[in-house]
Amino acid sequence: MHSSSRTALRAALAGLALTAACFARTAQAADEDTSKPAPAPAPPAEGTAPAEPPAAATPTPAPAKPATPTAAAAAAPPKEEPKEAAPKSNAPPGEEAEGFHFGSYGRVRAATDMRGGGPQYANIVAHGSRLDSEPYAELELRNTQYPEKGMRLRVISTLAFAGDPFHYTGKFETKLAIRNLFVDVRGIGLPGLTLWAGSRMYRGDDIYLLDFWPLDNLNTVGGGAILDATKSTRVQIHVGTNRLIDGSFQYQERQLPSPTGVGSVSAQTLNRPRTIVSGKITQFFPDNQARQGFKVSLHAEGHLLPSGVLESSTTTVRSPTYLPADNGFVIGAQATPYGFGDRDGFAHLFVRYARGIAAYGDLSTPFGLNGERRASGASEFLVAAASNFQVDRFAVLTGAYLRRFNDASSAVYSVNKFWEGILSVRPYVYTSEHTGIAVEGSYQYRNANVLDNWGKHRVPQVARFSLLPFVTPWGWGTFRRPILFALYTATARNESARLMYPTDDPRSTRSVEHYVGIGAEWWFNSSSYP
Amino acid sequence: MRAWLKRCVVPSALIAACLPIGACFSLNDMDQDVKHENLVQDWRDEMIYQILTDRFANGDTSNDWGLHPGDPARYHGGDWKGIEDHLDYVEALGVTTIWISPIVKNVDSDASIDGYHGYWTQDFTALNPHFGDMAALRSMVKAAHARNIKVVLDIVTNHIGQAFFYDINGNGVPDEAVWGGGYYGAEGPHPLEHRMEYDPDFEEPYVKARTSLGEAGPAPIIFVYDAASNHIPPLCDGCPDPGLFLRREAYHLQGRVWNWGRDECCYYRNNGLPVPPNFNCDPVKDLSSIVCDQVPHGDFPGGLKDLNTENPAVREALQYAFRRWMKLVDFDGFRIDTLKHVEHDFWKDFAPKIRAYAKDLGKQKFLMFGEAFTGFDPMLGSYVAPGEVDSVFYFSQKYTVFDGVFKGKAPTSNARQLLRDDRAANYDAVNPLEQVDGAGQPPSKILVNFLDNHDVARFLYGEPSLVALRQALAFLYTEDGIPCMYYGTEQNFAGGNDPANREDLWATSFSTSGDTFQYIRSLTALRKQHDALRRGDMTFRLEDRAGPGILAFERSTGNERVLVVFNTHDTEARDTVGNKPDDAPNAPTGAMVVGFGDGTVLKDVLGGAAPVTVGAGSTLQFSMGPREVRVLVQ
Repeated sequence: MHSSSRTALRAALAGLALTAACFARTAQAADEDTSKPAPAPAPPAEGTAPAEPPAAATPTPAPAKPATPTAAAAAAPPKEEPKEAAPKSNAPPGEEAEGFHFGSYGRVRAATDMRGGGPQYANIVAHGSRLDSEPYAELELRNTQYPEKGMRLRVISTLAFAGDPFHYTGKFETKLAIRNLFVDVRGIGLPGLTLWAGSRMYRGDDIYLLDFWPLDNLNTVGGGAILDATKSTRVQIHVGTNRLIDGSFQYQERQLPSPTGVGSVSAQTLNRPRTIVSGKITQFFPDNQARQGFKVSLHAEGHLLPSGVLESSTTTVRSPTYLPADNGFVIGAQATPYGFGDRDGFAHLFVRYARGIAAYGDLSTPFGLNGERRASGASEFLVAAASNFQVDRFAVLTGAYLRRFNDASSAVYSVNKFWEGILSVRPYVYTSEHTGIAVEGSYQYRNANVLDNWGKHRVPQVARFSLLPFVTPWGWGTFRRPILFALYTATARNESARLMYPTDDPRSTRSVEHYVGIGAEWWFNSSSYP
Repeated sequence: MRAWLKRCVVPSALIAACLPIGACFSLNDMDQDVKHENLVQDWRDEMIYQILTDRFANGDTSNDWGLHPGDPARYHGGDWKGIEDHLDYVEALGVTTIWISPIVKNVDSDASIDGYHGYWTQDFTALNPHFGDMAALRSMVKAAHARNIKVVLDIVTNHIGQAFFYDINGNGVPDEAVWGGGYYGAEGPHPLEHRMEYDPDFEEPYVKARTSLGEAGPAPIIFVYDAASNHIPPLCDGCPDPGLFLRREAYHLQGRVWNWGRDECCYYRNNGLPVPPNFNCDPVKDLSSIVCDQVPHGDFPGGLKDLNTENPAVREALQYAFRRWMKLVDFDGFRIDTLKHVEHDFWKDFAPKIRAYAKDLGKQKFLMFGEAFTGFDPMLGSYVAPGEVDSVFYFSQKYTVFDGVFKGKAPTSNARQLLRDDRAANYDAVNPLEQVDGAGQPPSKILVNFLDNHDVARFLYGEPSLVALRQALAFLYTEDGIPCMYYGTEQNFAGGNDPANREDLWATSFSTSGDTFQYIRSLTALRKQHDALRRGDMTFRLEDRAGPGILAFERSTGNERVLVVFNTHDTEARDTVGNKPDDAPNAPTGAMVVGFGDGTVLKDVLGGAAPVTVGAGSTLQFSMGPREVRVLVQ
């Protein structure tokens, strides 16, 4: 790789980012930064986890995909932040400078179905191929301070935008969310202790190819503590709440007669936040400083939902519906060897079991409840894996999961009692220092315990082949960003998969779906995660 | 490197290896081809229990979409899994056959009234997702059959749901319009006329387009498309002509029935028969086409579009649709809706073909009984003519006997008149033989008897007399024919007309300890125990021609004889003295003469009354308390 061209590219990108964000980053710091060797690629699994919007609805009722992802938690050694040393600061060596920082994740694409239409997405599982992802961007604003030696204080906010951009829709509108809004402080009490509070995407390692956090992916407002008890042991606890605006399960707002006697006022007559408590312990072998090693995590969640009363009509007087208290739990584990190969090698294996309201995910309104309107009996069992292996100019990413979901209903035969699974493999070859080509093959299926109107047990299946020539300014590495890419995907659906779509949906008649597009994906300077 | 490669590949390979696990579902063979069983030996042995699927039991909460449990005209959540879960309840009652609501996908909701009942077909070949999927349906039928409970499917051939509107004023949207000035001027009256394009009044020869300048030919029809309420054009997947139901030729297009006519007049007119002079049918008011064509050709109120069943293509489509369900699910018979709204020629075409198909499937004694909502017995009987249905829902009996004799105070002789004399004229004379490859009995032997159903107020409505109900039930389960009881009768439901008569059964917690439940249980047990009550001839022995009082009949086979005696009077005890059925009109009353020999001691196997002994000349005289029933056997 020619170091001069890399340096120039880095400088251009860094400058662009800084200018666009109007950030108070000093020119000197930027100059210093560009003068340094190229930063190491993101550590394994960390930085492999760009955030994304909630998954598009799947054609059949399914538990909503855990909807608010972020960057992955540390799988391996703590992330090395870009060094922006600030003179006369308490900042420890190797940590980011005091002041404001800007980070971002994003992806944009333009695509066609080669039939004169826009891109047609083809996933039939809850967490399908990432190639179907819609445009999305996060802008992170972060202020970091070091009030005294040994202490770090951060205020982090992440603004996220989902959906097609203005230049595609011609409309000044977008889906907007604040995905992070929290403060963390390290170094109070115990040296390795970080306390945080606020609204936070809180999660661990992901499966990049599937855009999926299989073990832990929580979205709450709350707080927690992260303790690096030793160099090889990390303990995390968290408690938080969310209360979805669902209109019928957790939240209802009604117009009531005003106490003044005139007119009406609104009141929250159903307001029952879900409280989630989580704990995670991660053991590194030999320790979290090692470039190569092994880690094991155990994760558990408890979900609690108080009772409430729902008014079934807001315009007539009816018997209210009592919504009983409910609960659920998650237990899971992860094993990950990392640091092998030439760059960022890792292999995750996840197992997770959830029950009750936890089986639906923290951002979903439970459906298919039992006769008592409770989710007890609902369950989710998941086995998942992901890996990254890179040698010389070759690399291969994999991702896969197998999932069994049962809603809480007493039904034996139901679309909400299903198995689903996907296997995705993406080999890369770098054709030059800044170019490469990847191919991706994947297979996914969804098998619900139900017969169609002809008495057939149908198993929708989708097989895909994709070709991704790309430009990688930072050189070789499956997680080096940004990348600019072209994409061709051919998706083959069996008849059962076609029948998942309504008759007039073009996908209902297409046994092969094409997708040609160009796009870009980036992330940089994102906040660190536990 | 090889070791690292292994580490990398193994987890994903493990998952890949696990993927086939997801194919391992137990569908309990529900996805296998249906094996058709022959469970019915003789339909006279069967006792039907009518289930309104949406109101019976909610066994599958995963299909609880859009429920409004407090509103009787909306979906409440019952489903096929609920039926399967409560077959023990059905079995405990002693009934042997269940009749379930139509299973096809309906218009979900129209004007905030739901298609929970199943009579608003939108897709002839799709299942109603509120009730479950094919596996749930097959599983329920299989479970019922395992208990020797047969399953009869309700079908509709007359109409579909609210598929389109008549664009009378040509503006492309469904309007409600008012025409006319509402005044009387020199040039004549201009009355106000209300027209609703979804459901305009019946007119001849078709619903016309109109503007302020006058009529403008046939009104265009425009199909509605509202996916949220499943107001989408009718479908028939696999039909010989899948686009048929999108064309005008599939419908009569004459608008909604507003004059139901007098059945005793229109029956004769529509069948080209001379009207008996005692019916006093006015040639204009009672016999004109604008009156008598409305029932067979008009849309059913509520915007339900009347199918052009004269069209061979429509007939072929309906054949296809219902044969398909016979093949896919092992039903034991059809209950057919709105019989009198469809021409006889249709039934003569439809019924034999269905029977032939049942035979091809290996299904014997496939029962087809129809609903002709009329108390006019000759009209009812006309539908069991050779080649038509096997049996009818015995509406004339419902009105004359159950409402008249048992609920009202009509002479008990009315029962004999209808069940013996009229039956001979209106059924046996029409068709004394069983239908070819049909249900296995002549129509008059398998009429479907009922007290009430989902289209009429419950027996207990208005005059909630439990003793009258029990008498009526005793009659239902001891007379000849096939008894059919509407769900909830066993729980003393007393709802008025639709939809008040469609209560949620689960509100009773499926209690089997109630008196009425136990009474019905004893009646069904008696019917099972005594061949004569199921298959025996029915001979009337005594009646009261003046009002409520004694009604007695025997059921007898070559081996067994059962005497059933009622006193329908609310307050007075009566001796078994009255008129014999064949007495002359003014003949004096006398003691009952029975078919048992002199000196035979008869015991009451229903109420446990003291035994009675047959006297000389086979006379039998004893006193019956008010509303008492005795079932006497040797």
